[in-house]
Amino acid sequence: MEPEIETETGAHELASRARDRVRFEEDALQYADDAYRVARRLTGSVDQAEDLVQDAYVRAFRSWKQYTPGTNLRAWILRIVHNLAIDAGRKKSRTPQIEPVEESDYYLYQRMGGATAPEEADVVVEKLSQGGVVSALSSLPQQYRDAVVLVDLADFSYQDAADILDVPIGTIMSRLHRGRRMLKTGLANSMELEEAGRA
Amino acid sequence: MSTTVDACTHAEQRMQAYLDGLLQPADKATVERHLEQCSPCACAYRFEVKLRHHVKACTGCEDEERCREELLAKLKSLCCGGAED
Repeated sequence: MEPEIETETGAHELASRARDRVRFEEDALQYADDAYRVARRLTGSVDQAEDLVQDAYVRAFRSWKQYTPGTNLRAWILRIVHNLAIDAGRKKSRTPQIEPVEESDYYLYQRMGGATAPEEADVVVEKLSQGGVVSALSSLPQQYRDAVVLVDLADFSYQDAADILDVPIGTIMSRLHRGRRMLKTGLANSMELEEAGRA
Repeated sequence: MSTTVDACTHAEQRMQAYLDGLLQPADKATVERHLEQCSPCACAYRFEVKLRHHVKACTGCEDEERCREELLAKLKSLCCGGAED
């Protein structure tokens, strides 16, 4: 009788594993929007973002046993998206990035001449072109750009960003702090370049 | 006695944390009181708020909604498919 019991146990295990896998896939798919949101901002186009998300889900489904049930599945999926984006970025450019200078918090505001009334500040901001903003953001070193992209552009919490990038929350805060300042320096430089081009 | 410059520096140093909603109530109240009284800092604050919106708008992805359905269908097709562990 023993072999039968063993077969039965084996069949139960197989069925149980198949159920776990289906549940994992269903749960993982709930985070497709978040995955796309991150991918869209880490890549240059819709096509690249879609490819990245698909690659991430292929990898997630293939290595689903490495996920520990009960831990943060959303962060686990988004970390795969982020790691694949970094790998793709590395292949594209192996040039070491030079860190932009970090200025004071009101640096950009002062460089743009400030404002005499709060309503005027709105007009001052509008002088920053979309091209200048995109260029300044993309020239940030990867680790600072990731923090700014996830928290400021994709509205993830500090904790979510820390989970996705697999770093302590304090690291996210300091990268965000520096990243925002470097972004302002980059925006000021972009604006000056555009003005020089028009002159 | 704190000078105006000190109060402005105090507000500037806390501006990002204030915008992130991370200041303790007492610190938050100090910053808000200063912004009510100091016009140059109020202008800088408005600039910082607007800048965050502007950067987000310039890098936003208007096509996100359209892509989600198509993408989700593709991802569903990956489930338990050829990707055997």
